[in-house]
Amino acid sequence: MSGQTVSILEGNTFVVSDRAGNLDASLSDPLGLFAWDTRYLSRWILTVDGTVPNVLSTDDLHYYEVQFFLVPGTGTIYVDAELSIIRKRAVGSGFSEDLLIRNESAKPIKLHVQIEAGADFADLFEVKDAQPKKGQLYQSAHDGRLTLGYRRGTFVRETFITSTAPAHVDRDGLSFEVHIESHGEWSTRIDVDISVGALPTAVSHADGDRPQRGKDLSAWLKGAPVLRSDWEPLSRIYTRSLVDLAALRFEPRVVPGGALPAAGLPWFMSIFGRDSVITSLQALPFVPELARTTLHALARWQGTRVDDFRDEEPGKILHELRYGELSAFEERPHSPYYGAADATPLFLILLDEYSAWMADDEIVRELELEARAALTWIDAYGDHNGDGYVDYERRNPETGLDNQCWKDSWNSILFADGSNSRLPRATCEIQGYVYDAKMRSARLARRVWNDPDLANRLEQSAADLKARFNRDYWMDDRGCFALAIDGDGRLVDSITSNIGHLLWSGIADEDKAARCVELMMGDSLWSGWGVRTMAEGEGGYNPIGYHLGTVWPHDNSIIASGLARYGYRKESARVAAGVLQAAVFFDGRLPEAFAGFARRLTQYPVLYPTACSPQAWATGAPLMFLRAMLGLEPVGRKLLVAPELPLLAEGGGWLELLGIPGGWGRADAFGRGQVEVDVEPLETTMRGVTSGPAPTGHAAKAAGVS
Amino acid sequence: MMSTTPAKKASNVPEALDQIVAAGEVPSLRRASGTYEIEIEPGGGRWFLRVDHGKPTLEAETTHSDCAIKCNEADFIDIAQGRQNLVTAFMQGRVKCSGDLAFALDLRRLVPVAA
Repeated sequence: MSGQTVSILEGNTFVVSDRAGNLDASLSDPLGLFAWDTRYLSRWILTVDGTVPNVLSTDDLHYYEVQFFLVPGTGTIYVDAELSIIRKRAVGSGFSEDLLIRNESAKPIKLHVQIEAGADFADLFEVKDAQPKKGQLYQSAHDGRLTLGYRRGTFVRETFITSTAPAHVDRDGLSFEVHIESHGEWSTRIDVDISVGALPTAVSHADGDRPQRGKDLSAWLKGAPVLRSDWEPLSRIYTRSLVDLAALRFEPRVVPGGALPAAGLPWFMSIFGRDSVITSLQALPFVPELARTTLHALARWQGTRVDDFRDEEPGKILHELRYGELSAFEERPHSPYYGAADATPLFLILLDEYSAWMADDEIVRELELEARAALTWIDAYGDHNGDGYVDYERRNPETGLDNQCWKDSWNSILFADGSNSRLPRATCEIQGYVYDAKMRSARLARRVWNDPDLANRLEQSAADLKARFNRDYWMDDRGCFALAIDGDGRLVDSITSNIGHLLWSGIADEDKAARCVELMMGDSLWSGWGVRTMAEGEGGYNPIGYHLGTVWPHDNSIIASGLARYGYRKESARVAAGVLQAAVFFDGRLPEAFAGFARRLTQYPVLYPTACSPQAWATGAPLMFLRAMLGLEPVGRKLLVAPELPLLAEGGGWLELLGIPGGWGRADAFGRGQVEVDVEPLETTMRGVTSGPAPTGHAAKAAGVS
Repeated sequence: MMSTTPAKKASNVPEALDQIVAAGEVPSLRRASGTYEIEIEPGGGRWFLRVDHGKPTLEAETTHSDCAIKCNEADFIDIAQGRQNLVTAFMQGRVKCSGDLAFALDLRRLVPVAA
């Protein structure tokens, strides 16, 4: 069943079912109705006369709504079915299911229709473990309502199931005795609602407010700039990104009425410091309101104390917030967890960028205390071993994260011989973020906080950091910046994509940046589709290793922006063109990562299996590419447009982005292809495809755009 | 950001609140103003903790509270003295918060670091 699941969601409530709409959770197939990081239904199986109907087709109408078409029987297509069954499900605080059964025969029929229901109330962290629960599960059936519950002291979570048609309700589910005349039909609506204890739910009805939500999606799409291009796939990729961003919106309780980008659908529908900030940065020219909510929410949750369990320190920006049982009882540290060394400088970068883009000084005044606390964290807590560089080493050795940078797998920070480095690790891109954060904060201090002394100190500190960094991280023998300095003071000498982030932040000296560009455009890092996370030839290189050679679209969008910042517009356009071409093979939706095999070897980008799709910062990557290609920069209350578009064999000659929101109100950008980029024509690549994913023309439909 | 001196163990709610007030202004809350209505269940009384640009004071009554917090006496004392995390107490259902949840979260900044 793996790989054959259907997901719909609203906020942090989501349903993952099989293609017939059933939920039969197992360790290998973590299906269910999930909300607030708890599984509220682990079993939901429809049977008709004791058998499970077969699926004819499944339509995901919108990100929050799906329809299943079923027939009874063995599934043999040569036997005409006399019944058709339609399940239409919409998710809200729980979900509602409209069940329709049609008798297609000339005779009346009697049916026994049953929904088996059960809930294990597993924490999201334990759905793939068979851990015994510490509290008690219970069920009760009264007055046509089935209650499934879990209690551990005062921690109570409950699921309530009711139907509009009369049902026999017992502890295992609902059943209906149905009589349908010839060519007649029978229907019921089943509501599954949830109780989250003390937590207020986002919407009050099981299916939310369906018509309003449809309007909301339309308004969201209409509010974004209009894109026109002679490269047709770009429009599809763009629309898909916008719809996926709409699906990824998460409403934090601490910022009423606002929405920020959660990290990924469905398992990471929560606030993440790094992911929410980077996605907000990517989406800033298109839907700037996401950045505003992200800033306010992260400011509210800013660290206030030294707390080893949560890796919390005063002024630190959170890594991840969860609401499940394990977090509630402090068996996991996510309440929230602060194990990210880069989220704090990234928060400052977003504050300045949002302020500049929207010409909004008010938010800089509103968040002055939080911004100053973040700056204090960088200098007072960020450097564990006193070598002058922000590093990380978890305070929580049991359940804390080993690697607290964006490459957060345990073995991502390797030496060139493939051996692992020691903690604390000061990865190079974090130094870049710190440099950029200080330079930007200096501008805010001078312009908005009226504190020239702080501005001077920050600029001096940033200049000092840049000088030291270019001296200490540079490896003469490899002609590249080291990936990190480890706990033994050694240069972690693998060549990686992190050097692109150094250009984005501006910390690299010009001459060293030139060498980094050569490396990123060379065969060891450039796969033909994008820049690999680790260069081919390094000891740890693995084209299907999570952070060891795969290509990450968000990484490449930052790299493209960095190349543009240093004036390498042609190379920036090349990166954008390569990754956007890859998106065509994924139906317009870029995955979190794809394999780093050379393009000439595989002909198509090989999917790397990951848990979430869409992933927020992969969704935001095309938007950041568009900004880089069009050269969009805010200058006061004006938008500067300096296009350098890639000329592709299949198109890309012109691009229009109309109605770009910002401090200028709305503005339009026009560009014509000018840059010859060294990427293979897509048609040539596709002619060579003998297997693997084929591009399809259904992106807009699958994205729910009508 | 808050008192870093572990509080002397309070024996009742007024004592715990007095310690918060005595710790004085919390610089990181200089932009925050509002009133917490603290109700101790069952039947343990009601207090109003006013924050005026980060400076906490106790009020005998109020016409408007921004955030209502309900819990039992032991839990409140532990939260007020930094021994119990407010957020996990809330997630567990030991504490109920209504009203302005962002302001509720600010209570974390008023309480001292755990002893």
